[in-house]
Amino acid sequence: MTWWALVVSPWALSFVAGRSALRLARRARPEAALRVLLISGAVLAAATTGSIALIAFVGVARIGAVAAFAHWTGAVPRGHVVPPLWCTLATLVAVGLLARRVVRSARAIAGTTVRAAVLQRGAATPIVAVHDHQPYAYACRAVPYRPGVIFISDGLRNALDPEELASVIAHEHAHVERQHCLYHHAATLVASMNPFLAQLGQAVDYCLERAADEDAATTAGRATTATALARAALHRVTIVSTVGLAHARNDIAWRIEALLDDRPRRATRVLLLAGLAALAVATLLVAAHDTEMLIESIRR
Amino acid sequence: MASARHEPQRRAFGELEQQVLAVLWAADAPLVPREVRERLRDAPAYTTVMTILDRLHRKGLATRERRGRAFAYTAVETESAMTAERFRSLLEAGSDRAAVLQGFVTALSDDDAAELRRLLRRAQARRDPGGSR
Repeated sequence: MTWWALVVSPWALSFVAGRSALRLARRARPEAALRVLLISGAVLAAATTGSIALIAFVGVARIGAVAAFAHWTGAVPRGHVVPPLWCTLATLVAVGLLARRVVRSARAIAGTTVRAAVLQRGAATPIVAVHDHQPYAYACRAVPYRPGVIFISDGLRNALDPEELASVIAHEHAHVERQHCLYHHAATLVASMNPFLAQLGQAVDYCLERAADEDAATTAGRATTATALARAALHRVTIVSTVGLAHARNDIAWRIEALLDDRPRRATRVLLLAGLAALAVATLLVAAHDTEMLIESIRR
Repeated sequence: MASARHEPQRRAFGELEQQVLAVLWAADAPLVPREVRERLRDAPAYTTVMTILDRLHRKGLATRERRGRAFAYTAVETESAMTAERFRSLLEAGSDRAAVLQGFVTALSDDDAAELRRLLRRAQARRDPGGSR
């Protein structure tokens, strides 16, 4: 019974982590939040992967034919609930589905990198104009440590005054310069390993935008960056279909308020998330140790 | 107070160069070094701005013309080799938008427009009226 509690707890912990990730992202300083989100996200994803591997392993080990083959014929010690066959099968299906998710997101990352390379090729200057009446700006960097490109549409250019435009360029430049695509890739992979961490991935994206906003604010001023954001948002026609954050308020509004609000930011949730990740690893280690004991005892 | 909160340590030269380029690109007319300097947040030394502009010119990222005793600089503009439609469809392809980082703003629902207008007014009120131009 305790084995089950231990082995399932990384999933429960990552569920809580996913739930609190967005609120953490909105309260903490973006760089601090990014670090915590990514590290604890990776740890939690690793722990849940280990957890499901353990369940599958024990389940398969108890299937009669496998046990006979490996000479595991001993009795299961008291207190151990051996997964029934249906549970083992369900776990194996889940492993397959998760593997497919990871492969898909890896493929999506490769795809976007290729598309970014296509966009980047032939850009002669660091800033490129796109003759499009729709307002948007894109930062594009296919390969780390190669110069990136910023694309700005005529629509956005017409919607903003020179100072606001400079702040948009600073924002996009921050994405390029700080290798934000790598953070995004990492968060995408983590979220694909564990569906409960999907919101953690969204929180990372939010922090990336916030970090770029802060950079733009040091160049162009907080208020100017805020007006640029609001104006661009009001002009915008939806181009990229993004998964909306599961919240009543729009992302942009949060970002503008963060820019206008100079209060120093504290984040007790940072500790919470780190604690959850540490706990997940701890329980998984105990569960793994338990499993080892189980295998030892039934081997004789 | 508000602007002093996040005091940047001396900016790297490359970063300043990027900022100068952004200023040139965003401007609607050629700018002389003095004008560029005025548009930078915490105005660096005049000679620094001149050096950067000269460097941008030598790199082929800016053109210049004489205006009185100084040069006025314009950012060299390149356009995307792709049509707007192709560009957009490339951005839209695939739900994951990793390396092509999502642009300045995300999708906006109608309900949020009113709040955004309110925030815009707040931001405009905060923007210092005479200090920037």
